[in-house]
Amino acid sequence: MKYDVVVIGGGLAGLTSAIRCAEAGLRSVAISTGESALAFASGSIDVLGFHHDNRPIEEPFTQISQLPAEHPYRKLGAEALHQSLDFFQSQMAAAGLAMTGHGQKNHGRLTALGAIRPAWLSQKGTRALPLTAPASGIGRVAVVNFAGFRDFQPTLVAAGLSRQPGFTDVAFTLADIKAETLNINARNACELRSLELAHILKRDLFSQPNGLHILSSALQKAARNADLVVIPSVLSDTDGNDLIVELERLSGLHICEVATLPPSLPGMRIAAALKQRFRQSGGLFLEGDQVLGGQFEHDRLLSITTRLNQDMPLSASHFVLATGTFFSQGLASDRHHLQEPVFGLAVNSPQDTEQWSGERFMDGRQHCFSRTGVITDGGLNPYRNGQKINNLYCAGAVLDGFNPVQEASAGGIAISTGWFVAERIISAVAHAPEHHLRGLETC
Amino acid sequence: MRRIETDVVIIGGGATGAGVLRDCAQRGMRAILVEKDDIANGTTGRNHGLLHSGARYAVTDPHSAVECIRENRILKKVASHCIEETSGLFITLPEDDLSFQQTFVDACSNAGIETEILTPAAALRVEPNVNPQLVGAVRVPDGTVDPFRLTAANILDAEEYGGRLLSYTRVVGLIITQGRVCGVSCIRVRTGEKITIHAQQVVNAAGIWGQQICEYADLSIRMFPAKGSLLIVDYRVNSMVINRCRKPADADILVPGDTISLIGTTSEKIPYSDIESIRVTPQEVETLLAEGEKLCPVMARTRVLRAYCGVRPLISLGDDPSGRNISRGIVLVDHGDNDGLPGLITITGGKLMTYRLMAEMATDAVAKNLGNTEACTTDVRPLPGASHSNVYAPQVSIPVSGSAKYRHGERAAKFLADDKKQNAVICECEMVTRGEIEYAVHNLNAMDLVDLRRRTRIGMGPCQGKLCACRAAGIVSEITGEDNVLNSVGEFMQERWKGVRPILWGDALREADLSYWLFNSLLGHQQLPSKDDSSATDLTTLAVDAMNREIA
Repeated sequence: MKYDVVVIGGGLAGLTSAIRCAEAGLRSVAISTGESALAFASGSIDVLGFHHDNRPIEEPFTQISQLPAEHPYRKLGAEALHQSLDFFQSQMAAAGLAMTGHGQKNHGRLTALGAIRPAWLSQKGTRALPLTAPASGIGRVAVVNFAGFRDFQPTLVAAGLSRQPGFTDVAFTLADIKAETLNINARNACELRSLELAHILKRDLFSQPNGLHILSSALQKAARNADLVVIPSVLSDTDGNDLIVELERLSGLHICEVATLPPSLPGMRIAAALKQRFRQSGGLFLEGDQVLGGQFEHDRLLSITTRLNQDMPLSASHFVLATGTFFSQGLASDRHHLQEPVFGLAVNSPQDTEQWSGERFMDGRQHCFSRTGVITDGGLNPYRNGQKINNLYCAGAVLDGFNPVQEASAGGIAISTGWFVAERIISAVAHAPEHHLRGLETC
Repeated sequence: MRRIETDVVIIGGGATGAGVLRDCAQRGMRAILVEKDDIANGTTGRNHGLLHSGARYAVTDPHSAVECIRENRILKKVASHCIEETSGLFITLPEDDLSFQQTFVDACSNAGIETEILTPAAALRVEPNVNPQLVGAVRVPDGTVDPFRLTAANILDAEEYGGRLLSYTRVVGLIITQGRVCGVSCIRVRTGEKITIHAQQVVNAAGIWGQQICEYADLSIRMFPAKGSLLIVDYRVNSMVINRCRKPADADILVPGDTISLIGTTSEKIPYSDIESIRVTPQEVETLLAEGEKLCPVMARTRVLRAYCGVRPLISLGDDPSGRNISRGIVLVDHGDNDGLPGLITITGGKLMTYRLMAEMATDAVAKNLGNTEACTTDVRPLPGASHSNVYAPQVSIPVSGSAKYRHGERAAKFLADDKKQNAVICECEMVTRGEIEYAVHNLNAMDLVDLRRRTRIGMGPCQGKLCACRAAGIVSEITGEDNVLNSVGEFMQERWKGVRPILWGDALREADLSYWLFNSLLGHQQLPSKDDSSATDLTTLAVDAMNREIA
């Protein structure tokens, strides 16, 4: 079977690209090793939150032109960035996961350490705080945990938040709603991971006719009329946002859900929504397989080999590499080199290994490992043995030239580069002489 | 300014200082130990953790060898929960001179160290990962010792006898009145509070930092610091200590410890002014890996977890700027006898292995000066945790209770309660429960996350603290009610980073990339406004609130 496009990687960049291609009528397949980095992500989308000197950015789109030329945003431009984010928002809405923000401006997302991190789109349960005056209208905050859940620490949320501008005079109430109150039946509720807790709550609490009322009154009791009630994101990996809207209606409280230590349920909701949209668009999603390498001819990648089908190379006209960074194994290293392990593409790898990282772990400006990646041209095509590969495109964190963590741009880069390479592929397929336009949409 | 009266002040919370505190307390003296950081933070905690049989010194330093084998036998009895009797191999490789083996065996017998010559085949049977090219092997009673646990157990016992620890308290001067040292002036590092401690005897057990203490009294003790670097590999690749059967050289000992193995050490003389800023260099990493592979070839394919280094306190007495009279043995100086300055005793040199003997010698000198005639019993009285009484804990899984007993001996019974919250595992790599963390804070003087690691091994496994740092910080802040625990998360990860950065490739880089992403993207650590301790919000009320408000 020959595909129009094979996308390698099932994270935010890969699936955005795959959905766009499938929606345009291309025969599309996406291959993923398993859970993506979304399980470690907040579930909000950041576009550009900080300048290189760590000054916060309020209006991200106005700053694109200030970025260095090798930055991926500069390669695709502000207009493409806008279009890709519109596309993403419409896809999420179609999957029932509405995401909103503060227009052109960034908003603040509360973290489990009580920090406020800039983002551009957030889910409904994640209360988008104004970046300039995040504490306005808040006199008392309640931080409420469930059943001694160990991956969320109310004391740390309070400690961090009380340091934020405007929060110094805010009063905090900390509480833990007991497992018995929540009807939880588990061997040791204190050892549950977020996903297990969500599944057990569904089974033991929300399956009861009055389950939501039990939770609502326990929250009211714990919150003591706080203006904002912060809870860990453990209520549901699927309809968590709707549950929070319903809880707010029942209790009259303002609830803010915070992504916990991994697995992060808001991030997993995005992953689930993306997979759903890809399948609905007619794409084929191969989960649990791994691409081992490819067969190249001059400037083209002809086919790839996967671990589960080693004797049957998968051919396609176009390929997208969206395999992420080191922890997703889109990048790898030995003692002397940083590498791209699937195809051996050219990577920005400083010779002096001491330059791979900086001395202060938390200050990532010197961490080359966070900024480095596959070197590409203006169309995001990579190089292999000095040869540009014209039908292979790179998207997301595997790319070189930006620091997703320090500048808070991981989400926007993944979506925009994924969308951008999809647009290039769609256009190339449309203009290919041999292509039969099987209901190929023009856009 | 706070003023405290006591009989003895001990400076330095390494194994030796802790041993002196315990010995003094057991002989009925009032004693306080002052440490500028946490216990076991200096040289004590930055070595192999090798329980020497003395074999390594048998040929070159017979006196040290005799001391080692004697202490080896004592510690196996009194500190059994800190020790693994792994036994050791001295192997001869094709590039080594096999005739040295007989010299080695003879020197061991002269020192009273039992040896057993093994054929290469027999050595491979008892230690399958040893280099199969070996041409000879000798078995000796080497073992491993956990220096953190050993020091903490000494402090715990001392406290139960009335001794006292002031950690994070820096000595800034000696109180000298009428030609006699009669105490120390200190500053509490975290609060800036000034304290004077008046005592009849001051024991300088500050190791490499002891030179500065002597300088407060214009005494000339000169330290010649030698940096030693080591690597930790994930997985316990060897079950016995493996040495090269040759004269001691760089990176020729591989020591198993808990769940990991250690290769070391290098040795490099450094200027005294550099002792606070040492780091492991890429060249040292190369040497350690190359030499380690010769002992166990499997090391070439094993993930390196971290690198660390420490400073050996080699000492030269009197006016000897050249360092030619460097002593490698134990040095005890009563400055009353030596320099006409009574009230001050310096104990230094020696090894982790001989900490108890050093403590006994220093305490003997103190006791003599104070007219105390109680005998030393530290060679027969077991440390807390080493009493061999059984701990029955059916309410937790075997890996959890096993790890707890391994680390705390019979004292594990204090926290392996029938309580789900207490038994929840917080660090999954090292099986540390909430109960163990609370026990370490309440009973073992752990003040923050870094201290907690030394008491419990939290964050020392393959994940290097990614999840458990936040979990443990939450628990510590609930107990202490301090919001600066939040700073401690950053300090903990920075401390982990220091060890990871020299070996940043492969899985270590992958792990670091994920940690950096989690802490700064998911958790937004970078966005936390820094806050100095003096203006820290008192979260005590909040924490109490939290515990009282478990909503029924």
